[in-house]
Amino acid sequence: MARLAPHALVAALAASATLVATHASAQTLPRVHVEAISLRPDRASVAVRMPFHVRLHVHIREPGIDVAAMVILPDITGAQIVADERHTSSVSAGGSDFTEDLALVADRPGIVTLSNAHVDAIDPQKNKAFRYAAGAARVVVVGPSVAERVAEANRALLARIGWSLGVAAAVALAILLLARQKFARRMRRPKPVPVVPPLVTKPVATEPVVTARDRVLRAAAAVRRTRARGDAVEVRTQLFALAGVASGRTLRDALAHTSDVALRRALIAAERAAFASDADLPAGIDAVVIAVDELAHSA
Amino acid sequence: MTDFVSAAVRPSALASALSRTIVGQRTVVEGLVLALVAGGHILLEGPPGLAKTLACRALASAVGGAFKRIQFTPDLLPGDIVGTRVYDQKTLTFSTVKGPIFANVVLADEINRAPAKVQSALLEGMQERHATIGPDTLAFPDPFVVLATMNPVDGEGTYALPFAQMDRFLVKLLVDYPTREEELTIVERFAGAEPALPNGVASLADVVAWRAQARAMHIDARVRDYLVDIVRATRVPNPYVDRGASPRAALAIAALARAHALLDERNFVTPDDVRDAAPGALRHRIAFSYRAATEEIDPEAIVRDAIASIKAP
Repeated sequence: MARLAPHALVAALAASATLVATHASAQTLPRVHVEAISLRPDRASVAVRMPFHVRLHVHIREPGIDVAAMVILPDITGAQIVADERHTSSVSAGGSDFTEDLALVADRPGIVTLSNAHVDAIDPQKNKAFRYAAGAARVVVVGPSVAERVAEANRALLARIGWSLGVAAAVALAILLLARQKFARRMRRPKPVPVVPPLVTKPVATEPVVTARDRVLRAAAAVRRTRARGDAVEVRTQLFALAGVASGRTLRDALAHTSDVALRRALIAAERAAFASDADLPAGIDAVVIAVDELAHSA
Repeated sequence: MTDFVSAAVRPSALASALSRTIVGQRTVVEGLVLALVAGGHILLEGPPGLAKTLACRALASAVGGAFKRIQFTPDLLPGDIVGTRVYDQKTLTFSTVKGPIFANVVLADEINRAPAKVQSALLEGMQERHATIGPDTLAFPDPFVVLATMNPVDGEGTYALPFAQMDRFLVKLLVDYPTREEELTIVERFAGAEPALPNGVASLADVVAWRAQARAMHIDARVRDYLVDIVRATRVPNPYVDRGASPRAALAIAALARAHALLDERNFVTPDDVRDAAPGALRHRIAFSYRAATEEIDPEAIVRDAIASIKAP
């Protein structure tokens, strides 16, 4: 079934009217017996936007007549043609038949009127021109009920939600795919090869990793060189750190934290160097240096 | 640690001898020796039956000094402690009879059961280290140490020591119940006979020498700062403390820390010495508030918090 645009139908009707006028003016109306012309909708009432059909039928006694050229289609108000199917048959015994099925849809509640479908012809018996017209047809278009409206609104809402979810899911999927591709690219991507600087540039000095033990040895080297109380205190501080004790704690706390014999000896020696009298300081520093040396060798 | 200024006998030997007689109570035994070396008096607080008296007798016996015990009662008079003058009918003159306070080690048992005038007589003697009987002013023997006991459970009919007089004690030691193992040892060792007291572990001269060594003990400036900061921490506003410790507490901590170093055979004081000495020197010098009592706040926890609030050097 072909779907005709409204303006095409209007053009066709205009062409038919012109043709009739031409025939009429030229006294060239066909001399045929028009035995029937009818226009029937398939239902008396219909819901909004529900398609319905109207059949236009013309029967002419004489066979072999091109009835389609004679028929003027009805004027339609309140509905739109969505399809048009035309059948013409010519039977030698039964005459000629023309059937046109129009599929219509109304957009709003009201009454659809189909009128003025007709055939102009000369009655051979009376030798006179007649217009054979079908009666007007009416179809009542009913709007949806409240329940239907609610259901329709719900359907629309669900459809909207579904659409939104679909869009969101699609966006999320797209982001996921992009991220995955990016991750895959990164995993595949070889590590950038560092650009070797020209030989003329100065090499960059990097700070070596300094351990707690290194700090103890550095502090011990300083106290060995200076033999000062402050450096002895620094050795004690670094030994506490090596034992895992924060500042503000005492020797007993530090000793409780370690079972390393060499470290324990060094801690005790450092306590003496840190708090002994000035007269006892040289001996205390000697003891610290020896203890830290033993600690270094014990590692 | 080394370089201990040697004496004929070391304080650690005295502590070991006392530990053989007093089962457990390591803190009490160490506190007795520390106070003896530091030249201060000791307040012992604990329930009855925890060898407080035995500890005092053992200490006196170990250093070979004269030991006297005074049982404080409500009807005691100052003359019963210090002594009095007695008229001699043969010579028609007054002679001085010394009271029990004239001893090297004086045990004032249940000191809070005597009235204030008796307590004052004892505490004045503790401070002045001499007593006046009639026209005579008589010095106490040297060394002179008073060990006073208090029973915290029988409060009825007692006379609480005034805060100012509590300050006269160098250290307050808490005597607590022994562990199960220690109690089993007590039963095994002392069930049949009186415990043997250590004799002649050290001499009075040794005690005097220890005191001299302790006074000469070096305290680094940072350690001094540390102990002063601890004492000052008790004066930080606290709803559970009415009054913090006095500067005498700082002197007491310093003396006890020096003795501790000597006991540990060192010639310098460490932050650990201060941290060990502080609770005994502070707990009876802090006036805890009524709120602390009503909320059953442990005073020891307040002391511990004050000490812990100061970072050691």
